[in-house]
Amino acid sequence: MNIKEYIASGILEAYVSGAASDQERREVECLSSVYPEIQAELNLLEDTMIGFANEYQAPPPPGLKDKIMASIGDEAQVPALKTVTDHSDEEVTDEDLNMDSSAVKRTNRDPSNFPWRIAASILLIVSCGLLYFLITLEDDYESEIESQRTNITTLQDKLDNLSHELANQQDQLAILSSPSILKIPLAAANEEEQGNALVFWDASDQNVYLDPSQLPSVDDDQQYQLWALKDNQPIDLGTVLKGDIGFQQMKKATEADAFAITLEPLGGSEQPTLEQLKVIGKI
Amino acid sequence: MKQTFEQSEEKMLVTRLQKGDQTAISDIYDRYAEALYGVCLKILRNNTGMAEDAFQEAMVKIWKYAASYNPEKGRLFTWILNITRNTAIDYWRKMNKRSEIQNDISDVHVSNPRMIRNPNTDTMDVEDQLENLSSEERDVIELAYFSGLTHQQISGQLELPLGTVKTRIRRGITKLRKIYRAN
Repeated sequence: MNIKEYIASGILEAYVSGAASDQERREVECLSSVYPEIQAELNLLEDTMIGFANEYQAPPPPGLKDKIMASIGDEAQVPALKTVTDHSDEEVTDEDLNMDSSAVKRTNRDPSNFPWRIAASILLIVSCGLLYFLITLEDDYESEIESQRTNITTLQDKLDNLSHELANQQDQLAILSSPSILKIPLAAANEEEQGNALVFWDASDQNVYLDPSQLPSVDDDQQYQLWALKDNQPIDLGTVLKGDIGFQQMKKATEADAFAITLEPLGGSEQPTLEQLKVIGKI
Repeated sequence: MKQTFEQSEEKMLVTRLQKGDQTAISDIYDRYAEALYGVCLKILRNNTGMAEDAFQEAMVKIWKYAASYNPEKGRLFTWILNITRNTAIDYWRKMNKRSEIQNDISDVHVSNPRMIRNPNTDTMDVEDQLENLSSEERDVIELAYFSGLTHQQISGQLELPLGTVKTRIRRGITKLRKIYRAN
């Protein structure tokens, strides 16, 4: 919040019209005592209300002025709080003080209240500062909350990714540490081919896992496919997912002498395209 | 120049008032009595007896507490006006302690706001321009200013959303501000 925004908020109009709540009124009084801009704006609005009040002018009955002058004739003025420690001001009688308030009387007679007054002034200034700080804070909160929300979303995404990756790693670790697992490296099938792959075959439960991360990337309309070879007969173990998928579980292989990967049209083939044999590894 | 003269005149009046010169109250009466008494009458629904009492009490307060007026906080008349208004509202509240405040709305609007108008030439031009202030805007400002109701209370009394009340008051005062600045 800045002063301009505060002035534009309509709270000063509420204040001068009398519609502000007690809390709002205290706030305006506090802030206007600290910020001259708010005080200046308040004065302009008060002048406006003078104009409004003047619309209801009515002549008072004759004789009222005399009554009023007579009633103030006996009344002594109450010194302002800021001057009550001034002992030269002895015009105030006990009677007046009794009539006004015992608080004023106490204040007037107790010279030791001076530090309290300083303390109260400091407290007022601190309160005003705190109030402004809180209002500013409330306003800044909006944008702050929004940016924090974005941060949280980003971090949440990162965390999700990491959790996913960790789960993958743990799966891989569990597979690799199994005593019955066989690790079969698949090397380039000929000199023209590049890349390699790893097949993990668990003979006890026939599960097959593939790490295709070292294979070259392929065109959009193509896909790698894993085969088990048994007595030179290919057995389809499924197509390899595209993208950075890490470790992938393939179809089960009950028996195999070797594993091979061919490049096939998207979706895979029933029989391997032998010209497109990329990597192969024997058990 | 006129403003400057008024300001210096007011400054002298404040000095006299705060020094305990009772003729300052006499001058204040001469300058502002019609406006202050009019406000009392409006707040007290044209009850002249109560308006006189409230006005008298307000003037005594102005005299008694003159030292607490701080010129840095605004014009003398604003201070005087607010004391008078608050005193009259207190009178009205005390009188209506037992009856429902519901009467407020009908009462405050039954009386024509400009029924008793001082034919002040300074405000003649204003009268036409005041038509710019819609009756809805005037209603809510009057309820706040003369009945001492908060936004929340006006919203409850008029069965209007709080936002509408706030907007009307704000818009109304913005209009008044233009009118009085132009004058």
